[in-house]
Amino acid sequence: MGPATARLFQAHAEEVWRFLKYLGVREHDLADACQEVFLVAHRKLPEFRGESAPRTWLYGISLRVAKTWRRRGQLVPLSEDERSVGPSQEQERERRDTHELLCWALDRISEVQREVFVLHEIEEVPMVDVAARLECGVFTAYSRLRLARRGLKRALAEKGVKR
Amino acid sequence: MTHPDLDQLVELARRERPAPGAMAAVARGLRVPFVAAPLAAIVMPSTAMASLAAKVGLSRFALLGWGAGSTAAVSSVVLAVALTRPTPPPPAPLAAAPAPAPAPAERDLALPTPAEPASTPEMVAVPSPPVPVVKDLPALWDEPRLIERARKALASEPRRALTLTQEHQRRFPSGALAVERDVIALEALARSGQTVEAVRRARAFEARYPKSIHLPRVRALLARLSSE
Repeated sequence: MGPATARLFQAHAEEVWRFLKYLGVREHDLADACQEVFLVAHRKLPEFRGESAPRTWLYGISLRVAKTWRRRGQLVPLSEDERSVGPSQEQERERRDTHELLCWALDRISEVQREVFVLHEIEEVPMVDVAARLECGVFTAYSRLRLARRGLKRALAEKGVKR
Repeated sequence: MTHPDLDQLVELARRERPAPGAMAAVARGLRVPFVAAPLAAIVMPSTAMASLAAKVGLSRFALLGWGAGSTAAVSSVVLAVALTRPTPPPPAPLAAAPAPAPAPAERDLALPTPAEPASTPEMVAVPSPPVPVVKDLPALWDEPRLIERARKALASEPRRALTLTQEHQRRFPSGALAVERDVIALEALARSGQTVEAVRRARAFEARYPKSIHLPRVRALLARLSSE
């Protein structure tokens, strides 16, 4: 890895990790998926001409990587082992529950809606860039965002009602 | 029963960071150095975050009973650290790095937004061809910004929206958002009463972009205009 990749990693690895997580890469795959993003970035770096900010460029790579991992993840459901938490980890569990709740809700909307929502709402990428990244029109991106919000709210409400 | 609403969950998600150990492992795999930014620098010390957490009901939510399902403890949320450890000691650097980690604030500033053209300290980090990159970036951002302005003006000031699309046409005749521009112009014409021109352009749009994702919108507009 050259110094340029190292600097990209230092500056953006944590964002990429979070991005992948909310795109639906399972927690136990995150490290590998994150590594894959930077390997691809390293390979493609010579082609990078600065048409976008490095962060959004990395997000573009992450979108594709996440898609692959998500598909793989769907084939292998989480085992009960991975889900068990010791009673002494109460606080850790509370913290995670809040975050898992959003991931759980995100699992319930469509992939395209999820991508727009995570890019714009969580990563705060401007809508025009979201549209460019996802190769759709700005109007489409907005409409997906609206549908995503509606779907997420519905999912969350359902959770609230059930419990 | 309180329930964290969507915006509160998003607010928390934005602040989520991996555990430094997790990132260090990835860095080792890639053979790059990595220094986790000190938690203290990233933790929001504000009472606002604390009150947000209270509103979200971190502890109450666990009582909802749904919580048992969680995955491996790779992640670490800054907020939780802030709440459980009021003064977190900065973690020891995990690996020697040639350059110190940029402070989070700097990183945020480095991200260009349409409202604030990139000052691009980050761009320097990446080797680029003999670059017009830095110089051209603000111009690059002008295009989407212009379209966003036009889109926003559409509802309340269609004439202004139209003027903005004309400006876009002049400055970025074959810009990446030319199709969006044309759709906005159509709407703006229709809304400012220039029906004949709107219909003419809508037909031209149909012919020119038969597969456009905007076509349903344009056709709806046409239908509306011809029924008027």
